[in-house]
Amino acid sequence: MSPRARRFERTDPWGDETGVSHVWGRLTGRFYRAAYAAIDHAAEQSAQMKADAESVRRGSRKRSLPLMIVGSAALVAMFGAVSQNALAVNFTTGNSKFKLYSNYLDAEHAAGYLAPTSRQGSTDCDADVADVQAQCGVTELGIHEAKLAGLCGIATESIPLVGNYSLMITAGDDVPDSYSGSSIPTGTTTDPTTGKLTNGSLSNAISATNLYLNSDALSGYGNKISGMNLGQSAETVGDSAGLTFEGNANQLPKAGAFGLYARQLNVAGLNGNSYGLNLKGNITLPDLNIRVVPGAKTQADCS
Amino acid sequence: MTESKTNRLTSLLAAGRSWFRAWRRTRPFWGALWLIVAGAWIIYWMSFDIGIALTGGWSYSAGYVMGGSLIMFGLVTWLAPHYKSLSGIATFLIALGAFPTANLGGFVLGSVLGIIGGSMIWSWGEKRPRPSHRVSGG
Repeated sequence: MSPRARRFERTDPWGDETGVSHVWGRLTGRFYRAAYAAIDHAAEQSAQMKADAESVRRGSRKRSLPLMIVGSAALVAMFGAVSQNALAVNFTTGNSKFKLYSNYLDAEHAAGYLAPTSRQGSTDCDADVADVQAQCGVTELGIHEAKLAGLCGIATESIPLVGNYSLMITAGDDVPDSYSGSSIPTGTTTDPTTGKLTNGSLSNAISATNLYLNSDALSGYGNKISGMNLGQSAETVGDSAGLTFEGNANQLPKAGAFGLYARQLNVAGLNGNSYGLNLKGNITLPDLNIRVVPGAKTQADCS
Repeated sequence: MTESKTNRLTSLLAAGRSWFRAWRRTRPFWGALWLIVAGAWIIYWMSFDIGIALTGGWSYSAGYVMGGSLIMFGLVTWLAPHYKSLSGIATFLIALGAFPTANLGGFVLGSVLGIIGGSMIWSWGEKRPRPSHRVSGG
């Protein structure tokens, strides 16, 4: 027993009394003794820990190096497999706004409808204010099978004290400085009748299955869209495209609300402002390149 | 503030500091810290409402699962350093597994930090004392 606890034992103020206060005194005495014993135990343990820390020098030993090298090599190998179209990855972002550019979108079975989305970092849906959640109207676009010729994604974060930093992801064909909005970007080869990607653009295309895009602005040049149904009841578009939309109850498609479905949706020079990109399936990313660069970047910095 | 009060405060701070140093030196502190940073980074880039993550399936929850287990193993390493070999190897594998499942492992950075942290924890142990220690420590 420590001196502290022993002292308390001697000076227990109610120890000799009778009646209610006697019981009370014994209870509190027991409580105090237990508390002091716990403090003593902790002090003893930390003294032991201090002695232990001083007796032997410990740290990460040199044998960590081979493991780190193996791990980095495995990571580089996986990165290579992803950029050579051999490994499919799962790619999902939410809440943060980012810009997407693609030379050509070739979507088989696309379904879309309007939904609210909760956004972190904004009071109104255009401004960026930290730590607020806002409900913004967006279109939910689901694509059963998408092929993209060239992809450039830019997410800009403002880091306190450091300033703006942009995360840039590029894959597939080079994305040009700007899109004309009325023609297919040069270098992209498409089938003249169906508008699907062919030849070089097809072999270097990013392909994704069950891709969901959640954006408030998408623009581009629609090229040979076929089997399009505008104004289809929103809760049926998912079935038409073979997709299931997921989310909060108010984000799911509602019966009677506006929906669209297209058997083949081709968009050249796609330019989007997106909040979320989800993949239920897999994506292959040829010529993948990820970099973090200072400053807010635009489409001109993609290539 | 009187002088005795400031003295008491500084001695309390010094005691806390020396306790923390001893605590740090008796467990793989830095490796576990890297793991926690890696896990938080992965979750940051895959953050969803927890409701969506729970109901939406693997593609929504992978960030929480992979990043969360990195954080969890980091805390386990701090609180139970005895399990360092297990948590070192497990987090090494989780960090590699996060690459194909969780946004390329938090855009590569999370996976790299996880691999560094995991191997630091795995290799943590007794080292030869520094030459200066042998002289002064006696």
